[in-house]
Amino acid sequence: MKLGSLALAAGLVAVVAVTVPPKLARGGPEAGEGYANSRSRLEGRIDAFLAAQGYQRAGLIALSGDAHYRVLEYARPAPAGACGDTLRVGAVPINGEATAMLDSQFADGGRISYVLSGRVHDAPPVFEAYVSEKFGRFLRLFGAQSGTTLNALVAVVEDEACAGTVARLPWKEL
Amino acid sequence: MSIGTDASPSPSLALRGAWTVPRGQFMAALYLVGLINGLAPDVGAAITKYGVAMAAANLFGVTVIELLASALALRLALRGSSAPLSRADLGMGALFLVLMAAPSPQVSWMAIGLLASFDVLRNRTADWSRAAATVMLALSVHEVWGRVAVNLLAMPLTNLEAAAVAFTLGLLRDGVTLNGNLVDTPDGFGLAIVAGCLSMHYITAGLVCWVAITQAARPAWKARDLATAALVVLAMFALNHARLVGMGFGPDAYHALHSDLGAQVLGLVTLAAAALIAMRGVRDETANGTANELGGAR
Repeated sequence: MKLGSLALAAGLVAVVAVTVPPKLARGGPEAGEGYANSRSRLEGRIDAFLAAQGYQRAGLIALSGDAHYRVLEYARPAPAGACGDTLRVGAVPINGEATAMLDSQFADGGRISYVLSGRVHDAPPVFEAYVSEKFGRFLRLFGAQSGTTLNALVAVVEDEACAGTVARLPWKEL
Repeated sequence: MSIGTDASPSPSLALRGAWTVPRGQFMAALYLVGLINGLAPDVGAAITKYGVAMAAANLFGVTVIELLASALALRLALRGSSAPLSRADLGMGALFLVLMAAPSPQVSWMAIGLLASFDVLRNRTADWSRAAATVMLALSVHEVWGRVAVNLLAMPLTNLEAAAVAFTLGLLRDGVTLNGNLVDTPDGFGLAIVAGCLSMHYITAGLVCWVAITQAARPAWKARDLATAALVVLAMFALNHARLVGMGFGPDAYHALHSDLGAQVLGLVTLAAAALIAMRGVRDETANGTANELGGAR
């Protein structure tokens, strides 16, 4: 074997030894960033955020048989039937694949909104959410703590007759 | 190489020659570094999740198509140009290694795509180097851009796939209804076609297999290769479609077809189908004894 080939092989081993361990430390490409993990993290934040607004978790509504897709029901003390006393909030995939599940369960009599980066949308902001998540991951590569790496966004269902509560909540604090 | 009238090389030139790295070997080394960086996290995650023995049985989370295409691409690259390295090669190699330093496998796959694009554009003639680069480019597209497209277009794609499933299931069962990406059956059992179910995953994997086999047989494309590619796409769609339709026959069928085993069987069947179609597409060249990397005559 030529000296050049030997040097190339040695260089290859050295490069692999330096570049692979950081990737292994981060786990698989989806590790920590998959929908299920993001959903759990976001549900924790939703709990805290809505508790600060006076809501308590009151139940879980499965959108799929295994409850992989689901929304949480929140209620706050108010006169029975008062507007805004019940909200259903879920952490849904950013690619919008749960949209029809939400529609089929809540579109009749309910208004479904999506919240991303503090802003309320009528439809899942797929492109914006995707770019935001990728940019957040990119920033994390360089050690920045800003931006989101969540693979989920917030879906909120309120009664159509009482619509307006969602728009009034300070989602920036989520 | 010789200087003057003496046919034997001078010691200094011989030493310089000993340090020369053929371009094909250099590119193969870079591709290997990229593949290890791109696949290592999957391997690590598989070992963490299943243990070494089970992970090995599952090919460490790497698909057979990825392994096949990677092995063929490396072999093709090694058969590539024996010309010395140019400054552009060294510059591209340096940029590639810088990108490898990013702790993200997706960046590694993008870097492979960048390097392969450079190699494809640099080689105007269809040779083994370009064939290797084409296979690596196909792998990169499958690993990165295919996933990006699936994520950004999940809603229309899942709606289309669900419509197709509802249509076929409706031919076999009465009372099937469609709502976006939801397919409901009259017995109350419903299917949600989500991004992970899309035929697109199998189609891009099948096309990687087709590119690898075709390029290993001959670096030059032919018009009829498009027909072979179309057949691969149709076969991948049909196999996944059959699986999705089968799931619509109730919870038992759903659990059988949706299990890890069901997914593995489908993976093997799709690989076999893509490989057979691609090999049939290049069968004439193999039969005629044209140089190829598939074990045919040289």
